[in-house]
Amino acid sequence: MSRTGGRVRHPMPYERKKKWFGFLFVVPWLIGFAYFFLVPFVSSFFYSLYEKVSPAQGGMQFLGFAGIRRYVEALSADTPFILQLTFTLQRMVYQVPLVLVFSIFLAVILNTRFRGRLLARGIFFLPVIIASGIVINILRGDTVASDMMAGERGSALFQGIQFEVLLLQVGVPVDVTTWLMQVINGIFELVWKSGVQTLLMLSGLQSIPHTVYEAADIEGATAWETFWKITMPMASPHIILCAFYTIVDISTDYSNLIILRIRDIARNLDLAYASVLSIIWFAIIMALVGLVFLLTRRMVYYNDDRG
Amino acid sequence: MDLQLIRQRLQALDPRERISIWTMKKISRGAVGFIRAYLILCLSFVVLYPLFYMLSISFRPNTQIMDPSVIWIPRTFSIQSIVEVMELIEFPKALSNSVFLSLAATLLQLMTCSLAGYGFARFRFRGRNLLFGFVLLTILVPMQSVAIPMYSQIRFFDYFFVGRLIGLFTGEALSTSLYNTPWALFLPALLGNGLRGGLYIYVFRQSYMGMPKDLEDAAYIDGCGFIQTYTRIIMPLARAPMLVVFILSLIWYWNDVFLNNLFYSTAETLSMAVDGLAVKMALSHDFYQIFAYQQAGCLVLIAPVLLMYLFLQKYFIRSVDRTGLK
Repeated sequence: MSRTGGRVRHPMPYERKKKWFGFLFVVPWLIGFAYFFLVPFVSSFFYSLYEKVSPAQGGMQFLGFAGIRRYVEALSADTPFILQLTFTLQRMVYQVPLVLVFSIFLAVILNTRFRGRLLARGIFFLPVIIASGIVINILRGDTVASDMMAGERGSALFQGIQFEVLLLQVGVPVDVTTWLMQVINGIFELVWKSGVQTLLMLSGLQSIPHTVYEAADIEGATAWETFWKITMPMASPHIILCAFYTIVDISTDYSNLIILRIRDIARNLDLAYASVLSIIWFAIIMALVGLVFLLTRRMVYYNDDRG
Repeated sequence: MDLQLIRQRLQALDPRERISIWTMKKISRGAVGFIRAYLILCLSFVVLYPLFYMLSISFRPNTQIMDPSVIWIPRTFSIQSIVEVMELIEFPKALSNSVFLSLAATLLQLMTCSLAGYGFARFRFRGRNLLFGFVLLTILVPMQSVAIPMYSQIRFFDYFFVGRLIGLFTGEALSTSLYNTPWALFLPALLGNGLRGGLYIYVFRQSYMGMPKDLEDAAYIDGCGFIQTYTRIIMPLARAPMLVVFILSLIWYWNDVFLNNLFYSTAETLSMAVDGLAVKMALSHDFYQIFAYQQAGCLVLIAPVLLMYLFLQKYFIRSVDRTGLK
């Protein structure tokens, strides 16, 4: 760069400029992230290391450094928490695959051509409107409604108690039977939880090129083979995305026992302990997501060079 | 389908077998159609059940609420519960509050998230992958677990650390309270960290990545700057993801009570009012009425979003196809 002629402005090279502008596009989010996420996240971790944290004039007041003592306490002595944890994780273990299977199934049906397809698709998104926020809480808390729903399930779907008795008499173990009944009775929740997932899956199925199906058809593949050999691998990135979404959705749900408990503790102003529990819960979610990621990494097929 | 193949085969067969192939094809197609229609009908019922239930309870006169002989359709229709609930929650005020807060927050969020998504999709800058990892982190962390420190950020808002910095010199940190002002909801939304902001950034990034690059390159060659390219070329092309994110964000803000309770508890939005219905009616001993009011309240709450969805549904579903979330 020569400075002989006073101010000669050299334009920035295109590539470097592009880098800066890319950063510029992200900056508003980055500020928000630092201020409204990173700081709270880190301070939540700090809270958890103290005996007592209380709001005071102009900030927070910390009393008595506890280190990881309260973590140990939560995982060894807090019986309700441990019970809630195992219960929630147990539910997750069967709910996540069920939601996935259900949303794939629904998306495949909705992806075929039939009359009223648009209407059907519109209907299956409704759970997002109806079942989010407080409406679902009221519906759940409404004892009469849940009784009626239970009655509906029983009479319409599997004859309720008789079905359980039948299973037991056939010789299915008690554990399996109660579990199965839980799943069957949870069908409402299942359908309501898979609104967004069905949508994601549907858009995933739409992105599979037609030519692949046509080729398979000419080669004489049956619908069954086409589903397992083309649809599933091609949709696998979306399935994983749905799996992550479902895990996060279930674990951050307002009706989640652990979330409820954290809320209650926070309401009683034991902020330090609420932070301990939420950090533990977050670590578990991260571990779950990481596990799913590692387990499925080999199975996911990416149809592009982005990797 | 392989119609030609079938035709060839048919010519080789004798008439009786020809009929059997055709009928088999027809029967199997009919069976598939029937099973599909049956499944969709059944599942639609499950999905629509709460809506039917709300409608059924809300339009009953008080005397028929617990009447076991009334199944779904009440003997006489009455809008008494709905009218009373609307009075109780001060519907016009609550509606305008809800519309203002959720619409503004959604639009702010839409702006920043689409910008950030574009930045992540198209530009290679240092630390991009790390930052995108942070986006995913914000999706993974339950909001409840950072709620308290986030409240303190809002309650003692220090102008993005500037106040704290001044505090180092003057001894007293400068801060103001955004609590119970609309800014408590708008500011995080404006900075892309509102309700489920991370998810929207993800959606935008994916759909921008699926767009052809050629148009942008052409724009650059013609002398468009990066920002101009974004506003003139990209934004008009990104109508599909914009609509998807707009609807999702609006619905989630509309139904949300968590953020409202935390940051702006004096705002009487529809969702807050319906949520507070139980408390308001705690003194009432008329169980039927509480019951009817809650259902009617839910109906009143979701009716505006539902109507909006009905109008936009066709475009929305098409947009989902086109967004091509990858």
